[in-house]
Amino acid sequence: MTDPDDLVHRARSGDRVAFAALYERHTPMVHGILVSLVRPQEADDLLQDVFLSALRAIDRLTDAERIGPWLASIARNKGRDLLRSRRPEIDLEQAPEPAASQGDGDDDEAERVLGVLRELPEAYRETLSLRLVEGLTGAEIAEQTGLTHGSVRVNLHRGMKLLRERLGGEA
Amino acid sequence: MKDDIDPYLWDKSGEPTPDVVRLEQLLGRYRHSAPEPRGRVLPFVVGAAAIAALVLAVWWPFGSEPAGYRVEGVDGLTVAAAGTRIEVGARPARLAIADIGDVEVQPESVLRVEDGGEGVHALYLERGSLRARIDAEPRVFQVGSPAGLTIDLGCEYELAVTPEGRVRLTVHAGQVVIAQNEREVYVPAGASTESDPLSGPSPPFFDDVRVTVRDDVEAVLYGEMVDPEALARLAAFDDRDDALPLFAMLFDQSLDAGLREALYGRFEVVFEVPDGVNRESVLACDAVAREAWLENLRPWWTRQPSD
Repeated sequence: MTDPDDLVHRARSGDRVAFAALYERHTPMVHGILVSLVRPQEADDLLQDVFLSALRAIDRLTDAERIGPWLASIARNKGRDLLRSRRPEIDLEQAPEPAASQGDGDDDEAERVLGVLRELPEAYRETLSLRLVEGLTGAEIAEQTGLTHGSVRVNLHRGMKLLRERLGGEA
Repeated sequence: MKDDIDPYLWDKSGEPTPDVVRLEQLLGRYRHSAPEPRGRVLPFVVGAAAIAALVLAVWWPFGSEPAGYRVEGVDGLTVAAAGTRIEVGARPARLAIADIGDVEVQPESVLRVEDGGEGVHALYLERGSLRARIDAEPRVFQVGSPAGLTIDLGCEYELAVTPEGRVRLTVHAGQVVIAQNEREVYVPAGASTESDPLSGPSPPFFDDVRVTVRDDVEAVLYGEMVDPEALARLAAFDDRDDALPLFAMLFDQSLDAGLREALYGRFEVVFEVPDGVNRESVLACDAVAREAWLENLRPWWTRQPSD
């Protein structure tokens, strides 16, 4: 397995293959954060913007080991920027959520659950999205976001408890 | 607070509960699909080499400067060693700080080069403003001012001294600590703070903070009496950015203990309490407790360098 530090150093010097490897490695984490903030279709679109911004600024990432947390911060900011930009135009409570891409009869329920998840406090919704949407384990979430294992445990445990409460005791 | 997590939720080991299985089934449909050659990916990756090469080409024009810092833009001064006082004229000046970065000093500013000790680069801004871009280990570069010492943790920031000696610190990338009169405030990228020569640095805010949060903090800190409604709103925060000024208040021993206790209660709920940290150590402003908690919070406050 390629050393992540080495990938960052190579990406900084213009190695497009190295940057592509970083893209592939961190895409689930970045996408999971975006899904916790914006609609799934918007998350797909923003994913590219996140990595384009990272590419432009990667020479200023002073600590190669922090590539994951750094990408996470870009994703959060992109998502929040989008939310801010559309706030005056669209009342989210009134706007219909676009349908999920795979229709299997549970679409409405999936949209409802995702909507509830996105209303949780930030720390919880993001960690739960990485776990339940992207399927990352707790250790993977910690490694990629820079949070401690303890923080991820707390966020998963308390976030799950809150999610259950808000869903009315059943998924 | 003890949080015993379901093993399956943590690492997918053991028997999952039915509701977690159901949630995975429902939410898994939003998962990012496996990489495939979609429209924008390829040109984006192909462009990487060109963009990165451009970035590298304009990066860091200066080399090592052991005898002093190379100066540009000041008549009659090309190298500034410790003890040099630099009075900048009508055009900006620039100092190359060894091989770790540079400092752009605005017109009519006055700056001193100080002896920071082994391995530490130290300046003192008497008047005016500067912008520092530093790529180095934490605490290698610092700038004193009438209202506080800024300690670089690897970053780009602006520092301005007003005629009254107050200081405004704006961080564009990385993170900075500003300290004065036993008060130390952590300022990450995207945030700024002001510091007074007597009272030291104020709580920092992200530049796009909600007005209500800033108003509530000011109502709590600077009103004749603590506004209980403002405090209640602050103590119910759930946004990571809102927590930035509150973290500074949490570890400010000059503030009312009840106020800090209310904030602690919310931090304890929203964020993980690190090992060895408890209510007593926080209320005592224990430096180890502060650093431990800051280590956990830092990822939430990390923003990208400004484009």
